[in-house]
Amino acid sequence: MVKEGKIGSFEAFCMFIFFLSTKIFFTNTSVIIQLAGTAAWYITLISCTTSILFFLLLYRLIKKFPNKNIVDIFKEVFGNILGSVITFIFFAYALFYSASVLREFVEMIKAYNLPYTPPSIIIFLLLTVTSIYLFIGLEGISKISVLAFYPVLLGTLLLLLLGLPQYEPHYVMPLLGYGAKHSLWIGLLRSSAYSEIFFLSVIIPSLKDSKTFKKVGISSLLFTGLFFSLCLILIIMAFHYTAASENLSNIFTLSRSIYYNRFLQRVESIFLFIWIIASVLNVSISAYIALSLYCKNFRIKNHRPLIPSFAILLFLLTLLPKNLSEVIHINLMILKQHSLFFIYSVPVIALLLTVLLKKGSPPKKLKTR
Amino acid sequence: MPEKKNVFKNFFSLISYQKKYKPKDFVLPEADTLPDASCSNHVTPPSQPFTYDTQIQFIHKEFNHPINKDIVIREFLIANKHKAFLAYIDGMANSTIINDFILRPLLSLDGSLLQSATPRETLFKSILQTSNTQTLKQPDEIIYKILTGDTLFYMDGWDFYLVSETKGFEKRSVDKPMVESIVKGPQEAFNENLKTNLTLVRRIIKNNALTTEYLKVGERNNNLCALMYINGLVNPAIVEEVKRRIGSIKTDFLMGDGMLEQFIEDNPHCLIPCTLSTERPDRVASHLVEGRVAIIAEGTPFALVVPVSLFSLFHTSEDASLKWQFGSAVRILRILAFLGATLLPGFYVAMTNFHREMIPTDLLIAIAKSREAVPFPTIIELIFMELSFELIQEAGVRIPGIIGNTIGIIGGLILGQAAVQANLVSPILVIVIALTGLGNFAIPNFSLAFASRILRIAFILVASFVGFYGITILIMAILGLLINLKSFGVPIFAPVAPVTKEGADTIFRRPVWKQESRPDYVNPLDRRRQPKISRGWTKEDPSST
Repeated sequence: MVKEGKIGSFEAFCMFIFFLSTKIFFTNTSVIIQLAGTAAWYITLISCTTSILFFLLLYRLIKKFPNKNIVDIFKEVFGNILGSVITFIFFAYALFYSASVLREFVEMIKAYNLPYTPPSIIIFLLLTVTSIYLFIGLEGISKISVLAFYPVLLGTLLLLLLGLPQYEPHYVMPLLGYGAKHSLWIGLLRSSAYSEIFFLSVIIPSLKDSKTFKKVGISSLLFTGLFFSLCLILIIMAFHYTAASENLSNIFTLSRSIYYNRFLQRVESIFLFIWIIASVLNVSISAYIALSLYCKNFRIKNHRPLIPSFAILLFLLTLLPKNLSEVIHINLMILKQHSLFFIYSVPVIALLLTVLLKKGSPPKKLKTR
Repeated sequence: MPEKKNVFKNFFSLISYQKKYKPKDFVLPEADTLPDASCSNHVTPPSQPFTYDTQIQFIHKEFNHPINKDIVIREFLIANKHKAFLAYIDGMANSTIINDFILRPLLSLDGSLLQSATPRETLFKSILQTSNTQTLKQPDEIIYKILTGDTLFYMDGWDFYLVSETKGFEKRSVDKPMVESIVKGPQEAFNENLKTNLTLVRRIIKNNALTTEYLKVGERNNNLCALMYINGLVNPAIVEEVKRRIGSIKTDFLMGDGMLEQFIEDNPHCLIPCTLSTERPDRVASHLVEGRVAIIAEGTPFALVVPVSLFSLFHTSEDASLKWQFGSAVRILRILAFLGATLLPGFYVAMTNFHREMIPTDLLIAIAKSREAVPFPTIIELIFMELSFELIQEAGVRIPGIIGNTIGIIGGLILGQAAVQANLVSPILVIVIALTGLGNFAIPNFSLAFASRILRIAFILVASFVGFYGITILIMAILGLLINLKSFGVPIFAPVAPVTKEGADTIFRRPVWKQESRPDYVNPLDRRRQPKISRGWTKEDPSST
């Protein structure tokens, strides 16, 4: 199997923060505000809580198979053939995710900053960095995530802080949005927006133990949920839910609308840096997960020879959607709203089968004197 | 006497058919066509048996005597009976020591002493009045000793040699630091003499555990490298690794730390240095006390310290002498200087070419006004100024000291003011380049400053193609290429990535009395530097003493 090295819990946490949270810079906030209105800021907390519950089920499954990654577990529970097929679907999903994020990024950077640059150049440059990251592997990506974590977090908080004069607290009314029932349903559906946490189970051998897995998973989900909630409430307060659901990127629009005096105004350059850094990391992490799944599924020892072909595949997949609205309404709708049923249901079925068929390692016997 | 040229004959040859004399061309023959072509540098041991004649022939042969005039072989008789000789290199050995403390006692030796039962080796060690006299048997060892300025003494019938330390070559005195000058702190720097350099460090660390090991590198020049570390503090694996790397070097010539650094660093293709080169003994001492290893090579006034992290390249020895607030502030300033020196011109290109909307309106108008009369695009203007600045920098290093002042006049006046007046560059760009230059000079590590100069060009190019996007992408790519880089097993971004126990002296400096532990990433055998309460007087009752 692929030797991925060991990573610390904080490194894994930072890595998954980038994997989970980067969508805040994209169209995600507009879509959720469009769906849930003023209730969006706590809807995301419902989604987060649901995801934590699903994650705990995943943890139960992982605990039953110590020192095994999710691919090995699927193969043991579902059998070699079905396990391989399921892993392949997860691999395809991760690749699709990576390509969709990349395309969304390209469309937005073209709209905001580089209108005359061909999309292929933008994709090529980003994929070059992604290829370097795939080459250096999980350890390298996790270390870069730690290095990038502080500037990105500080930059985002600075942007939110600078937007202080724009915030109108009464914009968050009515609190229940389009109604409690609707909000709850959307909250449950949007749990898919946190489904990336499932992929932590792919790199589980690189973590210290299953307790670290649990600690990293729950802490990164909680952090992301609270961070999303904070961003959403501030965005609603800044733009009102009607305008906020129209913006391509609310945080970008917020950074653009900052005005203190003739010099301190339009600080979108800060946004641009943190946005690109977060996007590069997000695409690289998802591409690495896809590559790792592929290698683990087909027992390929060295992932490096696959990088060029993967990069080309990613390039092609990125170019598939016709335009941004196709990306938003097809790709992202699958990823953020409907993937829930597949991503979370497979581990739950695996857990049920494990319990019913009594698979996995036997429970520890109590010591008797 | 050279033959006088006949002026008339020469003139006549010009107007007649007489052939003009043509000098013969010198043609360099191929090495393998020469009769005694040998490229071996190994010492050939003297032929057996061990006699006076074989030994003196051996010295003659090895030093190519009498063609080689540097070697002095002084033959004499001890007690008018026993043949003996001294061998040393003129200029490398101190002739006063040889005359007064070796030759004179030997020539005035009483013959009856030689009849005593005392072993010859012990007897002669007490006759030779030098501080260090060694008994050697290996031919290659004695050759090396003669080459380093010692004097060989051999007497007929011996199966060993005596070597007295008589080094006495010319050397520069200890001077002020030229590269790492500071305001507050010691003002001594290394020089080209290895012994002096080791003494300078040893004078600071008066610790019997401070150990020096010698290693020879370079087949042709046999350069001596000293390894310094504090035994019992440094992780032995680091010492072993340094010895392994230096010991495995196979090259003919190695001159000092710059070449050695390239031979031993983990990734020689990387722009960022993986070793710390310093000319300050106090800095070497402070690193040794943290559990690192210093490598000092003969012939250069610099020492290498390993392992290092990227953050230690931003430190100076002055930081420890300053209060923690000042020390931390200047470190942040240096990091900003590095970022500015690397990124500022790239930012300028990106802002003016791609992201004009991000520039505040007043500033944008100022930039546009200043660029109005300039006929070139920003990138050409910037590259022109960058090249000019680099030229000034390089010329400033190479220019002889006596005319050094002119470089300031040329650089400042002609390239700055005149270029602006001639509408070749805009004044704002001159400010950008000046700030970049200042930032570059504020980087405390010379190799890191060089890396910044090269990276700056790369950032300018990507910024001219894709603006901020290109700059960020290049930053991420560089991070990707550097992140797994190690310096003798220590990740270059430690203790930030990977996260290790936080040191008290990474970017922010804690007060010196709160720096309780040594850096975790070098895995020293003793991590604690001082107890939790290092200022004992704060807990004592002043009236009790």
